[in-house]
Amino acid sequence: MKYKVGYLVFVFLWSVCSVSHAQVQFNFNGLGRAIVTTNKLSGPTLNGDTVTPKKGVSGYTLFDLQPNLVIGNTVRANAILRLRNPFGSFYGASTVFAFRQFQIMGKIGKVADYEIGDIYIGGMTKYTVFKPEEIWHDYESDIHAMRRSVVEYENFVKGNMWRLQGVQAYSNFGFNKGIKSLNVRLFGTRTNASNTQGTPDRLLVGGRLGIVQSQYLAVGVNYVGMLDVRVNNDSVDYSNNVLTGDVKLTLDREKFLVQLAGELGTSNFKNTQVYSKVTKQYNDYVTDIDFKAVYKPLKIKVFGAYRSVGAQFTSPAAQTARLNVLQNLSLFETINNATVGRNPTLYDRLTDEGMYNRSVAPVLYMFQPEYGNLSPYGDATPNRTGITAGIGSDTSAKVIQAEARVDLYSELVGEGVADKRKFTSLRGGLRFNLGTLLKWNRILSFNAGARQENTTRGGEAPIDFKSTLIDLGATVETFKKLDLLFGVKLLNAKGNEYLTLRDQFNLINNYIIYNLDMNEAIISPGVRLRFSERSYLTGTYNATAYKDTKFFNYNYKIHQVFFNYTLVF
Amino acid sequence: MSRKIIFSPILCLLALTLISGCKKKYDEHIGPHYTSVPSDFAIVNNRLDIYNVLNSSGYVSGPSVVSVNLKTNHQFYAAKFNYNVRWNLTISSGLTHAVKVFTGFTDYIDSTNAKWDGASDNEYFFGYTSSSQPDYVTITLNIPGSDIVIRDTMKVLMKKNYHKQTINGIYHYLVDDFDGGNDTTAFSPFYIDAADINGGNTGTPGYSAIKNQANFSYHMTGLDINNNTYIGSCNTPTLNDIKANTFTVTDPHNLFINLYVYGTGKPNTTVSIISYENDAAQAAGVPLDQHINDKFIYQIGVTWKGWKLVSFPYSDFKRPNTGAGLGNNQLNPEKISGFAMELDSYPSSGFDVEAMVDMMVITENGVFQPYEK
Repeated sequence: MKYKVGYLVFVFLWSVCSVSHAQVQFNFNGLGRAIVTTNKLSGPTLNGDTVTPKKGVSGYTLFDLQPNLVIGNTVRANAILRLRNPFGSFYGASTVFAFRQFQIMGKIGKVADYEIGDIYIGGMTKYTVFKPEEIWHDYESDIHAMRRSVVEYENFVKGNMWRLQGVQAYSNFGFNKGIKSLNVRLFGTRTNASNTQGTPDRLLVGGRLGIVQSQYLAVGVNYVGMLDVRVNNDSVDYSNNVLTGDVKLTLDREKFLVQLAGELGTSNFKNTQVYSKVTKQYNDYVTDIDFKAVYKPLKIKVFGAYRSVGAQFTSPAAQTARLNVLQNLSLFETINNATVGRNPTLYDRLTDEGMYNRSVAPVLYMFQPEYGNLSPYGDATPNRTGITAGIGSDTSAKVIQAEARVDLYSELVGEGVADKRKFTSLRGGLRFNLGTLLKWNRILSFNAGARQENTTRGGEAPIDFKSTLIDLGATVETFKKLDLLFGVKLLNAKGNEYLTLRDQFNLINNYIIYNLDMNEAIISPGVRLRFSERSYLTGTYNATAYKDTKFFNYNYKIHQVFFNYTLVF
Repeated sequence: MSRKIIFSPILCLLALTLISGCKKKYDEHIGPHYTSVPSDFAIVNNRLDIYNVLNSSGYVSGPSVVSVNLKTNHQFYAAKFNYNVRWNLTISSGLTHAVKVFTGFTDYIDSTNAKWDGASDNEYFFGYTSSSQPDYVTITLNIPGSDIVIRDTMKVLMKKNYHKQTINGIYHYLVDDFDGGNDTTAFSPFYIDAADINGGNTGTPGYSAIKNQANFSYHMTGLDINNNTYIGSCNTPTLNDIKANTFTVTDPHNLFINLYVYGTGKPNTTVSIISYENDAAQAAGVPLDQHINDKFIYQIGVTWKGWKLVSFPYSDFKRPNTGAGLGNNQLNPEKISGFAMELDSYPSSGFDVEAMVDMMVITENGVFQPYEK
């Protein structure tokens, strides 16, 4: 910590000194939010249960104030001071004052941009640095997307980037001859601090060198390493290196665009348990080829992909699941007379601020197959090979956005048995902006999405597991800036699967039989009053019902009234 | 379109094709072998037998409760199946959160694959210090893929003994388990910093609410009102409680101090361990004269929540800022005679801090490994 502070102070002072004659600007922005919820838990599972809390009122008020210091165009610094007051505390009791963010950024010699402090790592590839989605939600309703945005804001989610602490620099050089441009990106972060008593510092470092040869050809090389910096008496010595190369061929004409892209790479994992003197080391490969063609007059695209991710391909910054399903829940944490933790549901995944991972993990987290079995860790999910094909609207389409896609994948090697799982996924969605079509100056939009996944395996440990996820929604602006919102999420899963458990070497060491016959529904009507582009008040009612007759054997309902006032300034 | 533009994609595709040939050859499967359980699977005689190792006395699962004294005896379990299956045998403490799991893929369970020496798989321990207080543990045999489960209850009369035991080549010396496991070096009551009075400062040697073994841990908490970082401390009875040459290693890198520390999340909580050496060769039991002997300190920044085993070599001890260098000014493991334990608000003073400590063990030639990490 003391070194980091030293670096920050040094860079800041150096930058300030070097631009002492530059113009200094100072401004504020931030976010204020007040949330109040009333919650009720009921259902047959609660019959005779006299201990589990079944009602609650909660919420908070928070205020994130971000002062920004801009010195010329060479140095910028900001910090976010958070004041958070839980709902129901008196006279400021339990109010938290904390720094939510601290950043210094700027330019070095007008050549390179740098960032220090709390930084977002990304801009690489989906096999090197990429935070995968927790579930497919491309066509979910506005009312649910709005709720998701609150959780994502609290967890520093920005696209598919990881928010970590460290330093990064990037630059783009233009050329007149040979190649068009060369871009370089380097970063170094610390994902785990040493406690000097057995736990080493763990660093995530990497970078990308990209070359745009012409409008037709671009290539790149990517490296990400996760490494322990050993101090005395460490109990573990870990390293993981990922090296990939990517190429993109583009033919862009007036009426069409054709693009072929590929990425190839390798990973190397090594973990030594120092005291038991056990070392495990392995490597594996990834191959990805993507094709896309866009017919511009109709704003239609067709796409396809081939993907092969080795069973032991390890890329922590691309394979760390966004959610930790083993995390205790914030809402009605326990059940069965408060003796066992309640299972996380689709509604918890949408609304629980505590389930998100904020750091990169060296071992794959457990996942629940009903929420996505084909790619639980994104495209970098290990032990997958197959093809994707689809058709959809181009991103420039304003009235209708639609997509249909099929994934046909299988494992490269069986887990526990020689037989391999086969995955089939069909998904599609539609977002229809009727207001735009009618040139009505108000919001009138509808959305629908569905995803069905089938997983099968034959042989001595057969699997037959199906899940269906459906999103429906509508947003109707009735009076000026007063929107009626409606959203539905339905999830059905049935069949048998095997959850895999992994050891500290990221190797499978056991299985849990997972038989499921579950249904979950979330029905959410609500209203939104938009005071301005940057402030709104919503009131929503969420009725959820969860029933599983096999693994969890729960049947309960959660009803929640949710008020949210948000101001961005 | 120039020739270069045409050839570049072709070369790239060629490279793609070549490199995509880099595919790993796998074994038949990854992970331990799994098979589904046949529909006619059965446990022979539907029973799990429990045997004491020393006298090989057997016990058939049934209504009576079998006892084991983990201080003097070990156990193994036995069952026979009509197929090779994956099985899990789980032993769960009724006292703490201690759990021990045996797994296998065989058609039998016996002393070769299910022999229990009393250790757990996590940071908790089985059993009490006193045989009059049994730990009622649950034994569960389940077969994944089958509804067949055998459960039994067993009385653990006393916990596994580590004091003065050599296990896997590692010598153990129990300083204090806070349950009377070694009265010779039991820590004293907590002496609070008088200047922090009204800070709610307290230390409880017999703290029962949170412990990782038996009945008690040592609870220390308080507010550093006078901003001197020091909250309070305790020590072994005379600081001259461990006889010379109890530890045979002379290289401080080969002696390890191990203790379980429970953090509550309060910032700046530091537990300091202070070692004392009898450089002047005072007679055993005579209170150590700190004016002619050395002391060294190691500070543990408690940055975690919950229990954690902390292990560090004696070579990491440093001279404290005051009262140091009064002996030979060298780390001599063989001369260690006692310990003190201190709660501090450190590195920042003035904070409300809290920690629990349990099961302090000194080991030679390796760290304390009561369970597999």
